[in-house]
Amino acid sequence: MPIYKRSLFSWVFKTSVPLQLLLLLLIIGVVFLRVLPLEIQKRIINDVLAVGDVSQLLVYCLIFLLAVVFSSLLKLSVNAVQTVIGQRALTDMRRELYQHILRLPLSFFRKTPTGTVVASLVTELSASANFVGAAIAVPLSNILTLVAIGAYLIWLNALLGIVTLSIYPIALFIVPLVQRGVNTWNKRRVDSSNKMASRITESVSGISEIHAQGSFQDEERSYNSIIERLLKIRIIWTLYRYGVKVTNNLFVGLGPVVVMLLGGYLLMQGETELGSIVAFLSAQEKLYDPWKELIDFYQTQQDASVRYQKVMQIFTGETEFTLIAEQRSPPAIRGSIEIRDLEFVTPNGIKLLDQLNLSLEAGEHLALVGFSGSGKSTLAKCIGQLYSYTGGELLIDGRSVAQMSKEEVVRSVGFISQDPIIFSGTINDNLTYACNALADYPDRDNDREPVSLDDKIAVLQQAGVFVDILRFGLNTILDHQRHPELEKRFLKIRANFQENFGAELAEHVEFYYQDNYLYHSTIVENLIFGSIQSDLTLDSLEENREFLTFLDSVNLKLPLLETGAELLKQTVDILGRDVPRDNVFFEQTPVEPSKYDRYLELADQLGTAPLTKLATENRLLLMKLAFRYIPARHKIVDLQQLLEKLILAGRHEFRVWSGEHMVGAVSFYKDTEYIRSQSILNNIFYGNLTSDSPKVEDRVNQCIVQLLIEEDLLEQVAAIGMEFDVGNRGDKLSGGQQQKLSIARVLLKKPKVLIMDEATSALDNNSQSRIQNLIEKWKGSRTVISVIHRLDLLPSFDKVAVMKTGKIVESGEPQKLLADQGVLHELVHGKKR
Amino acid sequence: MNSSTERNVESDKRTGFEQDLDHLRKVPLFQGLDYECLKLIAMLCKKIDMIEGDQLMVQGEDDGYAYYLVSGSLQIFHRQDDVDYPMKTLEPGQFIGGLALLGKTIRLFTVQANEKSTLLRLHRDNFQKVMEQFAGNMTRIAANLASELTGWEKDILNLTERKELEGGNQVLGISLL
Repeated sequence: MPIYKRSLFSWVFKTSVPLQLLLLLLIIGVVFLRVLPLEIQKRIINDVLAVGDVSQLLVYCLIFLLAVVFSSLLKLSVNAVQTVIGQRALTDMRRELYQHILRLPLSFFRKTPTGTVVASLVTELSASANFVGAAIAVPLSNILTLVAIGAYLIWLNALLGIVTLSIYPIALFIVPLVQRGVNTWNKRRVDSSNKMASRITESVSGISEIHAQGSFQDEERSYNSIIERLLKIRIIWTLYRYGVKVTNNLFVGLGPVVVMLLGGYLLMQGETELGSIVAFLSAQEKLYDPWKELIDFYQTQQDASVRYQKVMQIFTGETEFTLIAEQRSPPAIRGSIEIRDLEFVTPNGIKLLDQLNLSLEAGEHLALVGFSGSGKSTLAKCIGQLYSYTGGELLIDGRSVAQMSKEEVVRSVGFISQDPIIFSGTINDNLTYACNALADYPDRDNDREPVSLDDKIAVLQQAGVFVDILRFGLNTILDHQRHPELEKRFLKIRANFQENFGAELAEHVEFYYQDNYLYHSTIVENLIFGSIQSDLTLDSLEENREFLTFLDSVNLKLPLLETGAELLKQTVDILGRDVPRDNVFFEQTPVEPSKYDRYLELADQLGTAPLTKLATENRLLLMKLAFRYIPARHKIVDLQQLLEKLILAGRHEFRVWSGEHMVGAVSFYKDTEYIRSQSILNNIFYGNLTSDSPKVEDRVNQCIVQLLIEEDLLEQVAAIGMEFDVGNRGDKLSGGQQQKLSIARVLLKKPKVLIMDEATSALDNNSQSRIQNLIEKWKGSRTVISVIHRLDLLPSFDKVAVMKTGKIVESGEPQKLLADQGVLHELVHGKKR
Repeated sequence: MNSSTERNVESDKRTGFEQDLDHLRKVPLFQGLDYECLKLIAMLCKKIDMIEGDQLMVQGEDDGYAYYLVSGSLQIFHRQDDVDYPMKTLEPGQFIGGLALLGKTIRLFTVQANEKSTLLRLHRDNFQKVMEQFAGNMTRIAANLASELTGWEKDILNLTERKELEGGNQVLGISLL
């Protein structure tokens, strides 16, 4: 049964049976231990106190004590088991709901806000899970306790027992009546809160319009009416909730009165003993607890089912495809495509595709062109099974795409979209994304081979992103424990570089010369001029007290603090307080966006006291800024000549000082040694590249590639580059790199049918042409459907279909259509003005 | 603490950032922008050095960059039927490629450095991030663009010979866009 049709209660039995049985046993133990003290109490009063037997008193008290202790321990165990069951249920719900959500049609995601999906999975389900954990334990243990105590009381004195217990059925009738009120108003509260949330979202996202129109009061009015209604609802809802408690307490409070009245009378008549009356009175209290818990549980259950239903309502919908093919081995796809009277109508009745007819032999290449909004992209998505068409037929190798399983489609069809989605992780994770997905489907013909490094490099080259990946590898600081053998080989490349290209590129490299200041390095790198091989890293050096003393001794402490303060002042002055904490705004300042709030606090304190009087942690923050300052990049502050001289002098002093204080821990830059704190590229250069010129960049790439090939290191550096972390949703990659990577990952899959939805639109002409040339070679072997906007690519396609407002207005060979001077001709050559 | 004032006393040198900001203030497209907005734009500009032959933009491509030429010189080319025709040369102080900041723009010209040149470079994505922060300034940019276009065509009209106008020129009229 699909998850959205399942009842909340069905989750109770889904969790492991042994745990539920264990729970049952524990509960029986608890109930027994709850009743036992009542009997002990009675015996102490009736038997022991009357006779005055001290040893008997001790025995009874010991039993009483043990009962209390064990009852608490058992209760703890019940809670533990209950929690495990509840949390497992939550995990199950989250797992299955997520699975369901991922497979919902794309149209679902267009109309459902991401926030709703997130909130449902993250917060809303936990209330339901609490209920599932408690669903058996709470009612069972409390009902059993009630029954056991009730039975014991009747056994003690039937009349008194029955009268005392008769209160509860009445309460059982009245309490749900009040609870119904709670539920009604709770639903209204949830609706009203949602309304409020969407109102706020709308206002905030439209804030510029509100400012532009000055419609503040109007917005406030509509918001106020919602919160005033919410106010009323919340008050009534809360009153009802208290109503449940009060009604309940009232009935329970009546208990002792009955016991005292009737029990007292019976005692006076000699029909019962004092011990029984005491037992009855304590039983009242013991009855109250389980009763209260039952009522609370009832409320939890009501609340949980309201929320659960709301969540499941959101995700009502069926998957539009089957995941795994039912046939044992679906036939291999050749790639012919037949489209007959194809229609795609949106749920609100807009016809995006209208009576399309088209046929394509296996291995033919089709270009889809047309005006924007003409349905090219929709058609491409229908062929790729991303949208399910609403009428007509779409056949691949004579089989309907609508009937095909996802398994068959992803095996044979590659889809590259215009807006590439790159997931967080490494280049490699993204590159193998499609292939890894395939690996999760059954391997029908046992013909699956693992993707080799050579395959990956080949597609990266085809997509034109190989050099970028290589560069990522070169910019990596080598992990010498993982690649201990590589350092020597890079040193060899350094020598070769110097010999072959050193003179040519010298003006674009800032070499690591002992007497030169490095404007493309941080202050701390300038000062240390080496790498530190202990727990201390360059990033945390400002926290090292001895090092700070050293700075003081070479007169650098105050100038560095001043530099830090100036950097901070300028940053705050330029960026302001409200700038988004986005890397892009922080590229020219050493302030890290994630720490900007902390730095803002510090900025407020600057100027109120001399820098040396700042709190230690604040001084460390300023020191850190100064340490990270790179003059060539952080142009908001100029490097003072005096500071430059002091740092160069400090560099010499540090050599002496570290020889005494950090023996063996520092290895200084030396042109015969690998520098572990610097990137591979800087190691090859033995310096920093200073140029941004594309020509220099190209030349550097050529040289480095040549050197890497000579040393047989190209693949290894590329592999290191593939470990580059692309950042959140790939934000460390440029738009072009993202697009190329998304092309490469589909190429790696070698699909029989390739659909490209303006896949190369973000790329430069050379890259577009390179990919087009590659695809041309597939003529006859792979079917290609490409939505293109660059019409000069048309000649390389077998067929072209021109679309306009959901219809194919022309189709056929490109040359022929152009000669006919129809719509395609108009598209290519522009309208006659 | 007082390093900035001290520096000002010591010499009149502006920081790299202040120099960039002064350059950008002269750009016609940025006239009348809020000072805070312009500062943020300057913060997202990157100063780059190019060498002779480096291409800033290539005809037919959408690179998304605008440039301010600080020093050096640039040559504009237009390619037709596989021939690159040199057009005008740009001198320091000129700003090019601004349209690319506003939206996808396929270049109609190739621009390359004639000699060693220093430029300020700004990308569309960054520019638009700034504009998201200062939404009201976009109106200013649009107004500047309109007056630039009109001014440009006015200059062309002044240069156009009466003969040509009498012939019923079919090309002029971009300011009627």
